[in-house]
Amino acid sequence: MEETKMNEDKQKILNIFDENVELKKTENREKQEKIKRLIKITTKLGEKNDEPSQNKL
Amino acid sequence: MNQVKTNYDLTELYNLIKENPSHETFINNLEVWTSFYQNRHSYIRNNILDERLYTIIAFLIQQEQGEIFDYLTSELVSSLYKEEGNITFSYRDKLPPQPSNIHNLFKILTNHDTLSDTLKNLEVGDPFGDLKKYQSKQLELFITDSLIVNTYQTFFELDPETARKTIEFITKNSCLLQKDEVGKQPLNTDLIHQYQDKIIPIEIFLGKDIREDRLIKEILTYEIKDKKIVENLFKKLPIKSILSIFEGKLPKLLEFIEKANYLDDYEKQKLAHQIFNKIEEKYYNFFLDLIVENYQNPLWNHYRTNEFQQKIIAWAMNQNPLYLNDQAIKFLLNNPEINLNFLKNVIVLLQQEDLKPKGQLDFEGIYKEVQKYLDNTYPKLQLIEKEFLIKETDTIQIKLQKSMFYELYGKRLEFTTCIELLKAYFEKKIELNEYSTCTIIRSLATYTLENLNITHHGVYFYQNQESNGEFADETKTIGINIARINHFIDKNKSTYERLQVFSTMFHEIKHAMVNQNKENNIWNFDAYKMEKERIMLDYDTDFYKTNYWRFKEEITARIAGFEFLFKFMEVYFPTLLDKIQDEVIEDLEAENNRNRKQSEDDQMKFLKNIELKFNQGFDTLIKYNPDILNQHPILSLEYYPNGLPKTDTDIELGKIKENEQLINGILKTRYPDSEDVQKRKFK
Repeated sequence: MEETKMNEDKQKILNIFDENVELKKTENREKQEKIKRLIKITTKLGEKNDEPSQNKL
Repeated sequence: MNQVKTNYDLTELYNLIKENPSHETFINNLEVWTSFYQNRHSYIRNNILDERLYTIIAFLIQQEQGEIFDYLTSELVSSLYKEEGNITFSYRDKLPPQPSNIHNLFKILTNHDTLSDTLKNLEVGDPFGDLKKYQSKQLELFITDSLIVNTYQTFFELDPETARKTIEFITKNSCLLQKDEVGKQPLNTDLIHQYQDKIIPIEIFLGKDIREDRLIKEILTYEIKDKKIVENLFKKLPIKSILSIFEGKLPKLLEFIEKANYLDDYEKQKLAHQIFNKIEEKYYNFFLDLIVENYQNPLWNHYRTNEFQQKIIAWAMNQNPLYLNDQAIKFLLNNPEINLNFLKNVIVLLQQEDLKPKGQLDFEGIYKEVQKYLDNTYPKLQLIEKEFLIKETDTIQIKLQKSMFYELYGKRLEFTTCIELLKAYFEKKIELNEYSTCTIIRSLATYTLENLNITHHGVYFYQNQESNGEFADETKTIGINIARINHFIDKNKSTYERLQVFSTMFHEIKHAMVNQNKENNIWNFDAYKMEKERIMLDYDTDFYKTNYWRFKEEITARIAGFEFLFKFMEVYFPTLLDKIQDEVIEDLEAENNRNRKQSEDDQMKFLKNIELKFNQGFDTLIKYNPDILNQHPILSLEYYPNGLPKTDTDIELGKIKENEQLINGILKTRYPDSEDVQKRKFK
């Protein structure tokens, strides 16, 4: 019983990181797409001069 | 009607010269050269990496058209050196190890095939003798500069005798170091200031060659005996050069200061402080080691400042401990002002089983130090005692209390406990503090990484003003800024600001996922592009810094950070999903409005330009460093072993079922109009 629950938990987590699993509500999916577009525009054209730091390569 | 042709393609110009590089060719085609001259700006801009351009310019120079020459070289030199628009992409030394363009022109102007030949010929005479007739200041500067830059690149390969002659030659001929006519003022300080970065290589290789106290004699008393100049030099030299002069050895630097007899003790201390004050954060790691090694050194204790030492120690405590060596960790653990966050990070590190056999650190020694500290500070707490372990039957308040001890000992919470605590927090049943939030975030991140089968060495917390999070591929660790944790528990912040700690965590997890795929040799075109950007970073940190946010890897991770966050909210905290999405949109739109200064057309041009510069720069990098292909075999899909880009047909040949998407991506970027690509589109 406990093992089944653990597997369920694991699957839930894996779904979060699976590109093929989408948000359930259309409205939320649309908002997500909008955010994606906005990020692309703002990051590509923005004048950020921050030091590279989010990812210490 | 005869129409005068005004636009000549570089190939046409080159072919004219190639067939008959005589003065006649010049005279008979004056209108061609006039057109070239008139459009010199775009010719140079568009063909800066094309060797034929340099041949054409060299041809024009040989025709002794002084004025044309002057304009052309000045245009060329400024194109080579200056920043273009918003993109810092100066060619001067941004593409080391070989600044190929300068090298090409240098070759043409001096008639020597290689730099070594030129240097060897120094004893025969002045290699620039023939060129002096042009009497051009621009040329003088250019040649001095190209000699300095080129010499710096190859200096260490020269035999000592040639090296000595080169130094003599440069100091004698360089317009930067030339004495004025009266000869009284030894060094033109304005020029030093203006061309600071150009004279530094001289100091560096003087330092490499002559060493220790002779170095000081040679550099600082070569022409300079005045203490003002010594002070000025130290003020103006970047710390990197100072460290190079002293081979990165603190005692040597201290001894130099100690021996500077023309300074009194106060002035010596002032000089030392001047040097320490200019040390930038990127050298702190290096200085931490120096401090650890020299803690008992009387000279260090005499010249250091408490402020500087404390600054370095405080910085070190907020770093990923995997970047520190074991002496440094022990030193920090014994510091009276030990920081609890540092201690926790060390504990997490100690718990990484798979790190132990590698022997990177003296774990047992460090563990004893940590244990000693914990026993002294919290004598009653012992993790092994069962009463401190969280039980399912515990109330939420008890779970919360116990979770704080978990954090102290770097122990992980169960996934369900994390969710339970977060739920209770969102429902305002409990209050979270920094400790318990850290445990929750660390546990969630670790649990996720494990379930995604990503190799990692822990999640740590740090503090700086620069970033929200870090993923370090060398140490395979994820770092989260403590400031994000504090925002999460700050009730005055918006939902989005508070939940940003999760998007940061997911952002870093995305970096870890990309890195893991790379290590497992799983490629797609996006991963390939990210890899090229990473390689570029090794050779051109300035370009990376300026355009960091625009890089594929960052944009992908930023998008993923939000996507994962939304799905996470949908599964565990669905009521908050709409609210956070709306707030994110609002935030991004505000950011977008702030940045929308240019027209859309200009923006597109700007983006295209970045892409173009990156690709040109990358091609040059590979051309002159084909060794990179051995270190990154995936690039052989796009480049021949000699470093030149493959033709579309040859790229196509490398295609197999497994890499189809990758190859198509390369073809589309490199040969957008290629027939093969067109055909594929209609398939």
